[in-house]
Amino acid sequence: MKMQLLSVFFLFIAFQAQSQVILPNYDLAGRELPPGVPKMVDTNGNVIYVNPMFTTGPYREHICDLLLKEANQVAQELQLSEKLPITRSNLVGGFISPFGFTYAYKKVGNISTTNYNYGVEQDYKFSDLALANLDEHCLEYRAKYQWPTNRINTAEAYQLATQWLVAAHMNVNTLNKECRVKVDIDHFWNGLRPGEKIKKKTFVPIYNVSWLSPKNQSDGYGDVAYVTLFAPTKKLLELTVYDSKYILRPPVVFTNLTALFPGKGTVTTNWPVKPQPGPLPGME
Amino acid sequence: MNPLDSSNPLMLKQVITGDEPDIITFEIPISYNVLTNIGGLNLNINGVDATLEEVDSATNGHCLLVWNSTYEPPLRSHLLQAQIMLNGVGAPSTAKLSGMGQLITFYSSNVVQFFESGSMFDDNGAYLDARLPSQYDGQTVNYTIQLNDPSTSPPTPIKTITGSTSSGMIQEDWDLTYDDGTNHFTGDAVDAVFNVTFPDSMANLALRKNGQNESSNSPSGKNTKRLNKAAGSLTEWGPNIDVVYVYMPTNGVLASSFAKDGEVWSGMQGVVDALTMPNSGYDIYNSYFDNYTCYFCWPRPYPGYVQDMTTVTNVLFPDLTNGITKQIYVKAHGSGNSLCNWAGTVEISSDTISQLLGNIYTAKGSRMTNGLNTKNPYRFVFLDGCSTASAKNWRRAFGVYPLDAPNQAARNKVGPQAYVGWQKEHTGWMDAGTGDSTRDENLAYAYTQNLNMFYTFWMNRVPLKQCLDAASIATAGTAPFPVPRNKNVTIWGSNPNNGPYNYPYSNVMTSKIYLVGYPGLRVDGVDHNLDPDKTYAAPVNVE
Repeated sequence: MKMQLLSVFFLFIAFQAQSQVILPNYDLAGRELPPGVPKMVDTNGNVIYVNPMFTTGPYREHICDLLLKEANQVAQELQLSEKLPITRSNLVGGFISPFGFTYAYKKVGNISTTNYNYGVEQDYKFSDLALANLDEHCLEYRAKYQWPTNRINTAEAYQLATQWLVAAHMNVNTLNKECRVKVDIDHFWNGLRPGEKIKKKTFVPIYNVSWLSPKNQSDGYGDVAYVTLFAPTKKLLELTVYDSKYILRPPVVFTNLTALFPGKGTVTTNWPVKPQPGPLPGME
Repeated sequence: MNPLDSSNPLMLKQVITGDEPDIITFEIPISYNVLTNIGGLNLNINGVDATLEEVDSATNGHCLLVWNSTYEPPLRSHLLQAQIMLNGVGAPSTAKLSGMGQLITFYSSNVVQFFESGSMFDDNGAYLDARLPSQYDGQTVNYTIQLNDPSTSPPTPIKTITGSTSSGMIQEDWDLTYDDGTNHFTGDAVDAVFNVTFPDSMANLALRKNGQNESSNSPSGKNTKRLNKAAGSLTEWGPNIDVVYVYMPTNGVLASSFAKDGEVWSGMQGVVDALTMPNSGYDIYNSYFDNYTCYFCWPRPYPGYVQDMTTVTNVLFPDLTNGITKQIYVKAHGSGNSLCNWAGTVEISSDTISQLLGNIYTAKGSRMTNGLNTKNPYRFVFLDGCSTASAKNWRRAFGVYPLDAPNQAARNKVGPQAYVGWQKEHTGWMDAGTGDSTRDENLAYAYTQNLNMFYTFWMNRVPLKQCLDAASIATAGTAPFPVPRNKNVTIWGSNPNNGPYNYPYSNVMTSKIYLVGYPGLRVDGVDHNLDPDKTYAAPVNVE
């Protein structure tokens, strides 16, 4: 059985990118599930629930391979300081979502080398990159790099950020068209409260370049994409795109779900059940 | 107790100790020994818990409330009152557990305000930050910062930094060199004496009230901040996490569910697995306390179920202090300063954690520490029990600094952190007591599934604020956090052992969740665009 995820993932309104909550999408229209996946269905046979923690070893192995493939491509496109190809022996951490969670929320997981963490976290697409041991690097930058404030160069930071985003196949044109761009020195590492302007004579050259949707601007917080970078060495620290509509790269594709979920899973069919009012448990 | 009634016995009587004007001491006519057995005492400044305070014993056995006034806005009047709080774990929700003392006015003659953050320095340097009185915003104020080594008597001058500012803030960096610019200071503590000269005579009146230096044109004053060198693991960054839970029900029900291989055990094991189980051969978080599922491995899977103090003292505490455990989740009955199981046979206090980790908080500058000094700061702490964010004790014990409020300047020597706890008492889905064992079991298991979801989002690099949002929504198979939006909620889904269930509730006792620190914290980074979000912001007296 083949499950071409790209073809079925646009059935619902994008669910989490700009909303304040992340809601499951069980895709009542019937994203195909192999019989080996246990599920709850309603009286019409629509899938209404797959245990988010359900997974199998073969599934994790398969996803690891897909994440490796994606990480290699991203590392090459962004010319990251990685020894390519990245193989399993180079991995030092990460997280592969259980299948049930991925089915509901379309977040596949992430893998880490000693250099970077690569995440496929939005609509099955690569969306996240973070420098490994980020805080330790930033502490070092803060200790060693205090540049005079007349060297603050937001234009260069923006240019670097957009170059990386384009290289990673993110839709910068649409981001710029639909969002407000904000370029700031990183307030935490410069000892500033959010929104505060620097008053010192020196600054730590870590920049945040962010794209704020109209909703973000109305809320006063949040973003749809951001890049954090260290200017002196032009090092990419973090890259995140929350809204998949700005991600042009294709989703990772599962092609052998039946093999990953062999057998026949339990199907709970007697839903809905009658409400069962009753007392509350105790207090903490 | 009426705060305006002169017969109110909870009265503040100032005693002169010689530490004034920075340190102000009040005697309270309550036995120190009695107080420490029944609860605690704090000082409210304009209705909010003071930033730096502590309770000591007076020579006559009464209580001394010691307040470091340099951490409050300077050159202005404050309304002060004592507040007594009783220990109340397990008390009925209608119990009155606090009382307010008489209100008095107090004029602060301080010339600067210090901040809890930035009380430490390391080999790379120190931050010397202070807020000037707001009435001087926009005016040029001259200052000197005299750095002294307090290990000698009298203190040895190290360096003098001179400057001026019109921003209302003093922000200086010190590279640990002496005045010669070459030799490095190697001591463990520094006194930074901020001498401030105001530009006009406006401050004369204020300064004259308190006998400080004044002149017709250049009134001035000084305050001192003690900075301490970090002696432990200064960074909040570390690869280990501990998951801990205790028996929650009141009457012995669900004992088998909580115990090994029961439903709660299995559910919590899922949390441990999500956080620590290697996927395809590599680690995620590590834990020396919990063990992920691996049936052919030793040690056996362990989700962190703690049933006795021996486990706490012999296993958990050493693990918390190993210097690489920087994340923790605890499910327990709670209060502002303790965590316990229902029977009280397992209990952990914030004071104990504070001492163990060396994250020490004291008010008095003449002592070894001043403010929050962190030797082992944590990165992400979630204490999932009643009222765990009703006071500052817990987040301080784990060395978590707050996200700075407006008009405060602070620069930590640690990276972004977050503490999550509960404002007050609330319904506990794992507490049982419905009289229906199947319902009890379904609810408890559903809550463990919600925790699984919460930490699965976390591991997928979802910012903390959005993890909390997601786990506060009722979805199939999960019992969401009992936050105010869930006063009316339906818990529904299917339990692997018991089948489908559908429990509508309209009277859930809810509580706010407070997040102290960075809402945009992620498993391996931070999204600072979420910093302004106030969804889970704690009030000032908690943050």
